[in-house]
Amino acid sequence: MVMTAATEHKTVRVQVPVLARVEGEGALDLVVRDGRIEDIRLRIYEPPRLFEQMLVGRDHREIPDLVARICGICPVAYQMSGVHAVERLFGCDPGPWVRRMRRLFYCGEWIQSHALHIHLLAAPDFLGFESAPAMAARYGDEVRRGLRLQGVGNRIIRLFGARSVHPVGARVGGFWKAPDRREVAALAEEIDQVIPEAEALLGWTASLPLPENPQPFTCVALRHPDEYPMIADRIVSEGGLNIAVDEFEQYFAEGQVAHSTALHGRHKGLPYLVGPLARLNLNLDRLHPQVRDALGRTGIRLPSHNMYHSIVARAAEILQALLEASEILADYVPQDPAYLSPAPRAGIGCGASEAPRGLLWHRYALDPQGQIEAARIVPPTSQNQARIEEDLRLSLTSLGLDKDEDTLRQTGEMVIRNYDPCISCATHFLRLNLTR
Amino acid sequence: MTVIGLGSPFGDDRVGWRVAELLSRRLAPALARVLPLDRPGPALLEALAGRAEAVLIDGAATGRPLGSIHRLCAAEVAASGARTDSGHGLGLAEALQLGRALGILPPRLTIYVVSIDPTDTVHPDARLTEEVEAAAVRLARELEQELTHR
Repeated sequence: MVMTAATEHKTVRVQVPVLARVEGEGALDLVVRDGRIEDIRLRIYEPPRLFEQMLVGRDHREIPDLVARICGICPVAYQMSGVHAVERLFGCDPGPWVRRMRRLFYCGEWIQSHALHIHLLAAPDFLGFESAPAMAARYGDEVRRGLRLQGVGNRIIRLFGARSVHPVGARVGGFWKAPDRREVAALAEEIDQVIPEAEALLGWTASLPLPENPQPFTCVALRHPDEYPMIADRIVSEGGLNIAVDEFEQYFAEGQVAHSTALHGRHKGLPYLVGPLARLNLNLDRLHPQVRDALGRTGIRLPSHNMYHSIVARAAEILQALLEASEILADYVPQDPAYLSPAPRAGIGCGASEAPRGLLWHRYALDPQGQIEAARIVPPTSQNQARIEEDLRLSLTSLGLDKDEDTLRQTGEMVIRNYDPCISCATHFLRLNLTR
Repeated sequence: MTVIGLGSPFGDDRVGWRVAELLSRRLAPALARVLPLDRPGPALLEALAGRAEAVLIDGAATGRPLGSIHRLCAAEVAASGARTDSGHGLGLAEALQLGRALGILPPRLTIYVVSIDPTDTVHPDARLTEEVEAAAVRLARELEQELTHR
């Protein structure tokens, strides 16, 4: 805290050099002066466009393998947005079997990512614990349940022939191999066993002491004619927007801000929200009836603009994904080959899918041989950054800027964690202070 | 016995995978299950749960000489307060703390940390630096010796 001389003004600098329990690493700078926020900066350490550059000159068929490395926790999402973009450009519909398998693949990732976030990142906040290990001592059953759900999600992903070091399952036109029938049968049984646990989880998240903090903001998500959206061709907003994914750049702008290498997303000049709460708000009518009923029992009014309900939205999506996976696996028959090989076409292909963290948009410019001339990838976290800063400004002001530094920091961290930001997908080394 | 090489596709952070790769070529499968894990997080706990014995290998920016190898027990890593930058919710230290809190860690657990240069972990698919490659070869040989002659 710095006291300016000879006045009653107070400048408080809160620097959180490393945010705890957020994917990767980030930092929050907050300057308070005269009881108002003078400056608030969320610093995100994302590599500046390294992957987009790497893709140039490569063959389009390398896209799934390369983009899967962008995020250690949502490689499926990157593969799905990528193949969607390429196939739309080539005019290729991979057929109902592939589309169903892609949905299954994606279910695995939602389950895995959301279970991790709920139990290891978010729940400790709401239960007053410093960390997941501390929480696990008192809530061992709940943490074990979360890890079990996470494991199921991972096993769904691995059905598609993934190596243990990253899912290579998807390719343009389909999958390299169809899931093995026996593995499918075993997993189907496991999924049916955990569905009740996922229902219990949904109830549990809704019963947590979630703060009341509604704010005005616009939600944005994909929209599909009948599915709860994972891969789809249209983007909708609460403001009445309904556009093709190809028109994304005309309506959503990214702006570079000095303190961050990530870009700030704006729609009509304002921050917007993507992610589970946005998806849920815009697609309540697409939910599986069992999920709709379970949500109804929580008593939470939807649509909701209280970001603290994101944990409930994640739990709802875990249940949704498990129910869908169960249905897909129940009538599973392998297809051989498990892919088409569409002929390349020159042009610009846009595609989008709903990563666990929100809308993930890809655009590729391909030459007549299908070589990549340019690539643009817009991750959900960069789209949310403007919204996160706006949320921090509102939430900390409403908390009271005269609170002590620790309280401001803790609240700031909780606000940010609601967004499940994946802010440093490519920072990979372990910083270990060794004392002997 | 389970041997897990932890890492990610980025430069020197692949060292855990490299050791796993070298070891699985040389070691009779009956002696140990050898696995590479990508930015493992909770998958690490799953791989460890219920096992009697395990060895983990990971690269870390320790501030010690590049390619130096450090052998630690789980308690030392968990207590190190390692702030992991490998993201995704659960770094090695936190994973071990969580495993301990849940009572699922193998009773015999050894961790080998290879000192890496954090600036050499930016590019995907990049090769290991010379010293780190040499360390991987050394460590794989040591582990092979140890596991073969028990």
